[in-house]
Formats: sequence, structure tokens, C-alpha cells
Amino acid sequence: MLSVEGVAKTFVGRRPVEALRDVSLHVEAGDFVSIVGPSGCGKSTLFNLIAGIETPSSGRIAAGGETDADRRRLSCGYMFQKDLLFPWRSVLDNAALGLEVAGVCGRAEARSRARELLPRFGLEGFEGHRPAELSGGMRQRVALLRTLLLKRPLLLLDEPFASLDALTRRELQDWLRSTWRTGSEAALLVTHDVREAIYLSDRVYVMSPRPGSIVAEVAVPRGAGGSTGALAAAEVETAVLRALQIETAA
Amino acid sequence: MSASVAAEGSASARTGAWLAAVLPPALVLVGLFLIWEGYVALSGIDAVTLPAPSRVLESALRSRDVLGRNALVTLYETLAGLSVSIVLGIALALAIDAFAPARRALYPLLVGSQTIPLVVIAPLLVLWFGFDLTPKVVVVTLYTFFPITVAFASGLAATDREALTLMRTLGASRLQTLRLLKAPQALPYLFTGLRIAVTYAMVGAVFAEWSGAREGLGIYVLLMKNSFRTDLVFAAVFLIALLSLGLFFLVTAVERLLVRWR
Repeated sequence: MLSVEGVAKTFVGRRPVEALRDVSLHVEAGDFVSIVGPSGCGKSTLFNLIAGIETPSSGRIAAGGETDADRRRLSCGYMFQKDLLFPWRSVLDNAALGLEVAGVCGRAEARSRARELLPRFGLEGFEGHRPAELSGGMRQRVALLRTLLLKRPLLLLDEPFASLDALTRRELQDWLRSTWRTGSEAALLVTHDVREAIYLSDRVYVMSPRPGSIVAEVAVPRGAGGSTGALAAAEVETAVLRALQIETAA
Repeated sequence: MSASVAAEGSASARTGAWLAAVLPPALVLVGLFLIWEGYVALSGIDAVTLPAPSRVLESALRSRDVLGRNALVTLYETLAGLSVSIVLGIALALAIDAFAPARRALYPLLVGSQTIPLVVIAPLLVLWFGFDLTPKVVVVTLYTFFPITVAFASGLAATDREALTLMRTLGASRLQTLRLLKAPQALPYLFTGLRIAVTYAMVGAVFAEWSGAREGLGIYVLLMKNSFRTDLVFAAVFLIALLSLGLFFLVTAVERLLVRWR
């Protein structure tokens, strides 16, 4: 689904900034994979490279079988930390924006496809509301609906819950776990919340501070029903934190 | 139900806000008129030099047909000039936003155009274009396209960078990005420019008429001054102010209608 091989990125300028160094990772169809790293380790840069928004200084990226940046962009559904809803559009029109832009169907058809999914996204009865009238959690759900409706094979989630309160965040994590497959075949999540990564993913990559590179890959064991036991989760958390070189208490 | 209650609440709040905005200047205005009236009555100053406001009002009502006919001409010129300005301003702003070379080439010229003394240019325009509509439209346009252009261009430039990235990830073309994101979010800026423009617009038309016209409040003021009808000069001046204010509120009302999300 996604393979990143030996990718490096240096931003040229008066003072060049080396953001990424020799990053390699892969995501298979059906996978939910997370990248954990300290702030400013180049996680967002990596996403911009994968989504074809920026070009790597060296290395090779293939997403959904596409290596060309413009085509790769269309195989990635990119969800940002900010909801980026347009205040002049209703909930329904915001959700339909991606389809409208893609031109795969007319505006009316885009709206009706969005309307069909509103109940699953907990947005039923809010289609006519403006984003300003919604809570932060609801706005992020609209943003996710806008992304998933495009049915792009690879879902890129850039700290989508970072700005939410703990309770809403947990609720949305639960909900994302059961929903993300509606539109996508694989998901890659960037976060600095280790527990979020473990809770949601099958595998966790750990990134070093800038220049970012992958320092560890930790598999999350799943028991029956897809849940991870408390003990196993704690072990994984210890492994990830050790890779992040954070001292855990005793 | 709670939504309708909230709507009613905000409607009455809006009426309150409107009163709070209109009442103070109205009271000051009435006060000034009273002082003026009192001064004229007590000093016995002659009406050609300074007519009392009551006399201005009386003369205005008596000449309302002539005033109205001239006002319509000026209003027409103003709206024609403003229309040209809006089209020109939006087109220039789009060009400035789309092409960096256009920005570099046009900005200095735009600023330069605002330094042209219209006092000098207006008579020339009459010489070139005659006594009809054209020179008035040109003067009004010269007065008003600049704030529209600059405001809309800065609105387009103020588009959130991440929102632009979002549009790229969605696969939007430049035209789609403009239509769906940049233009709607620059709309409040455009209206800010438009509000500035309409306050200048009518003065521009009056000034152009002053330099040569058959009809209109500008030439009317000139004629009344020359025949020592100071009262009617004042009447025309007040009418110009009232009409400009009306245009201003019209723009605000259209903005309320189009920019509902603020």
C-alpha cells in the first residue's frame, strides 16, 4: 500500500534545515500503522512528502502503487490537526467538498453521498449547521467524513485529535477504530501520544528528534476480538518509550 | 425550538445594537442644528452668508423636484462609476494575486494613480469626453477602484496556508481553489474596501459635474452659489451626504446578506 525507502528531506534556504534522514517504512493493505515521535521530528514533513505536497531530497515513495507525486496525492486521504472546515459552508457542504472538487459526481450527488453517511458519523440533524455551531469533536468528525468520502486507499492522519479534550479524544479514537475502513484500505497515523498509537494500531514506528529517522518498529499484539490486553499494552508502551529514550518510572 | 428562541434573542439584540449605533450621532446632529439655528437667529446674520437650517429645509422642500431630478443624475453617475470600479478592482486584485510579475508591475502604478490630482485632471476629462456621462464615470472610478483592489487583493493573500494545502490534497485546480476557498474567504475584505469606496464615490461624481455638466448636484451647487442661493447650496450638500450614507448602509446590508458566517 505504502512504501517509503531511504527518504531524506533538507529544506534549502539561508540556513538549511535537515528535517528527515534516511526514513524507510511500509504499510500493507489492511494495516493501521502509527508513527510516534517528539515534537518537531519531521512527522508532518514526512506526511507532506507521502501526499506529494513536497518533494523529497532523495529516496523513493510509492503510495497505492503510484510513485508520481501528482498521482500519489490522489491516492492519499489527508486529514489535518486542524479541521479546516470552511465557515461559509454548512456541515453537509463541507463534508461534500472533496467529492465536489474531485468532480467524480455532481454537487447534488456529492451532497447525497455525504448525507448517507451522516448518521454513522454522529452528525444526523446537523447537516445545515455551520462549523462554528459545532463542538471540536464534531468538527473533526466532519473533517474525517470529508476525507473518507473520497475513498482514497491510504488514509493519512496528522495528529487529528491533538486539539481535543481527553474525553472527546478517547471517544473519537474508539469511533475511528470502527469507522476508518469505510473509505480506506490502510491508515497511517502521526501522533506524539504513545497510548493513542498503541490503542489504534497494529504497528508503531518510533522517530528520533530532528533530523527525523525511524529508530524502532514495534508490533502491537492483538488478542481475540482485536483488543490488546493491559499487560501486553504496557509492554509495548515500555518498548516504545525506551525507543523514545524517555525514562519510565522503575 | 431553542434555535428559534436564540434567533429571536439575537434579532432584538441586533435592534438594540442598531439603536446604540444610530442614536448618539443623531443626537449630536440635532444639537449642532439647534446651535446653528440659535446663532443665526441671535446674530441676525444675512441668509446669503449663512441661512438657518430651518430655512435650508424649507427651501429644499420647495425645490424638491429640481433637487430630486439632479440627485438622480448624480446617483446614476455614481453607481455607474462604482460598477466599473468593482469590476476593475476585482479583476486587478485577481491578476495581482495570480501572477507575481503582475503584482510587481501593477502595485506601484496603482499607488501612483492615487497621487493624480483630480482637480487638474477633471477639466481635461471634460475636454476629452464632453459633458456627458463618460468623464463622471472616469472620475468616480479613479476615486474608488483603489480601495476595492487593495482590500480584495489582501483578502486573497490572507488565505490560510493549511487550507490551501487541503485543497491541494483534494486535487483542486487553481480555479477551484479560487472559487471554493480564496474568493469566499476574501469576500469580507472586499466589502471593507467597498464601504470605503462608496463614501468617496458621490463626492467624485459631484466634483466631476463641477468641472462641466448639464445636470447633476455638482453643477446645481455651482449654479446656486452663483445666484446667491446659499440655502439651496446647503440643501444640495446635505442631500449628497444623505445619499452617500444611504449607499454605505446599502453595502452593509448586502454584506450581511452575503457574508452570513461572521
